Amino acid sequence: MQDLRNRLFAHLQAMELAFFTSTKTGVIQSRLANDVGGVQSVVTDTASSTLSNSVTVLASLVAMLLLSWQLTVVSVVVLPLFVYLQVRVGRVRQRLATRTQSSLSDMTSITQEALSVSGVLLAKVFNRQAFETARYHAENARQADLQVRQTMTGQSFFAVVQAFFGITPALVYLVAGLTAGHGSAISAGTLVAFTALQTRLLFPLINLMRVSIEVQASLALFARIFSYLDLEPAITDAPDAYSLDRADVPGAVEFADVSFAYPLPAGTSRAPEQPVTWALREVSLRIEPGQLAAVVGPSGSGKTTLSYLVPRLYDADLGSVLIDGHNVRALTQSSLADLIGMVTQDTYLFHATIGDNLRYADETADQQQLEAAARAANIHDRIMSFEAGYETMVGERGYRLSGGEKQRLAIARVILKDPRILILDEATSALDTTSERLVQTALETVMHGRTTIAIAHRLSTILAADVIFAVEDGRIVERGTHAELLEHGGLYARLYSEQFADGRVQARCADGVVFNDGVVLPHRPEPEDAAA
Amino acid sequence: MGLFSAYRVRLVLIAVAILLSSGLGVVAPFLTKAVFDDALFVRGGPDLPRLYFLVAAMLVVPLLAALIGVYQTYLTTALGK
Repeated sequence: MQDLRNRLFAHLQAMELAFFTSTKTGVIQSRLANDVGGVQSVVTDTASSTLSNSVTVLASLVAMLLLSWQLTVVSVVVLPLFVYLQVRVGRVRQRLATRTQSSLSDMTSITQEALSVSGVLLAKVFNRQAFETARYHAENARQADLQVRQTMTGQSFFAVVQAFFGITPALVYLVAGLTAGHGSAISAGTLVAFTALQTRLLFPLINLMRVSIEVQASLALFARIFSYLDLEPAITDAPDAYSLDRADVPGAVEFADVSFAYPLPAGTSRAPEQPVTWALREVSLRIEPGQLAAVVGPSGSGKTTLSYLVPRLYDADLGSVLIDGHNVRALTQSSLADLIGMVTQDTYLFHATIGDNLRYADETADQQQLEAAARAANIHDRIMSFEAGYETMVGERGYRLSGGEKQRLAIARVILKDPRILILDEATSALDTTSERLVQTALETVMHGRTTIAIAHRLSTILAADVIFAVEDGRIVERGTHAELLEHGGLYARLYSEQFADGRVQARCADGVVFNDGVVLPHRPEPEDAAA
Repeated sequence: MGLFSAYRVRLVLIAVAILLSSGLGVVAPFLTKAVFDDALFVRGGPDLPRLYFLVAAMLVVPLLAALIGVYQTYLTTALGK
């Protein structure tokens, strides 16, 4: 069972990102915990009891046959009927088991959604605790009802079996009396011995039937587990995939006529007349080694999607993504992952010490390397201000740290990893104005000497960019340097005037706007915030 | 005890049911004794009419006990709620 669970975990790790964006976390957790657990109890109980029960039943049957075959026939004549009934009961149990597991999975989802930091926060802020509790109550009641029905199903069946065994002695006496009249007398001793054997037969037989029903029910659980194991990861290494050595990669990134549409959630399919919703359309671009490329565009235009195709979080549907002329699909995923570093908008930290979280990028890093990376990311002093320093535990999702601190930890992590290509989703809106400057200087350090694709929200980034791509509706509509694009007077010029107030705004943060001359304006509602 | 007064009739019924089903349980061995001593192994071969009667009783008694048992479970569950 341990193996099954390990296999399932490893298999799920290999699944593409799209699987996780279209499946509830709780549902996945429930397969690993409840379904494997349910199968486990059946398998352990079954193996041990089946053998001893079968032996007892066989021995009793042989002994009964030796005593009197006529009486044996009378006692076992209804067994086939029982077997038939038992299969029927098993089917019902199987259906109930499927429903029980899916209800358990719903419960895990609710727990996972509602009792996580974000879920509790949301429920408290919107005063929806009572609603969440009611939701849980309802599912729990359904769960309890299903459990009771699971236990009760088959009770009447076993009552019938038991009643039959209760009355067979009477039938045996009857047959004994009837045959006595025809000369083949059955002695009193035979009768006593025979009825004694019958009682010995009852309990092992009932146990065997019970086990067989349990096994049938557990097939439903196996089906759920194998439906996950049978999922083919959409993104896998090609059979002839090769690795690139970091040292041999200057880091040129190229998109050749790339189009991409997000996969539909599992189990749904596109109607024939429904047009494909492309997230990226015919994107071609080239970023030279060491260049800083800034991607700008309105929200939802495809900037993040574009960045996801480089590390193969998704595969392009048409066209190809190339690193130094190598198609990313031809490379092993692990070597690709080694080449590319990512700082995403939402920094995820494991529930572990700061040091452990940093070492996630490089297990072999020593304390000096950790500190050097943290210094470069402007976070070392902050870490040292904690009582436990690098041994400070960051809560689940790193909740004791501010947004800026988490981002700088993420930057330190990427510095430790030292990738050739850096993908940066600048999230100034998650920062306060004080952290913004610390993060900005940290970023300047990390971008140095690497090919960087930045989804830019900072003036300094777009001004420093070697090339800017303006994305709208999945297409690159403009490309060039800041000066060229301003001159062009299109989308970029418009964004520049809206988002950066023609160069006066450095970044828009959660609590205010940082101006280019260092002045900070505390936040007020901005009609053009949608562009940020 | 005030809490139970409303259910007094039911409690009595349950008690009667328990007594009856236990009593019936004890009857079965006596029937077996009768089958052996008075029907199967009597002088001059088995007394078939008597055997039929006793076997019928041996079929009816467990069924009756089962019915009473079901009724008792029903009463207890209803009371529990």
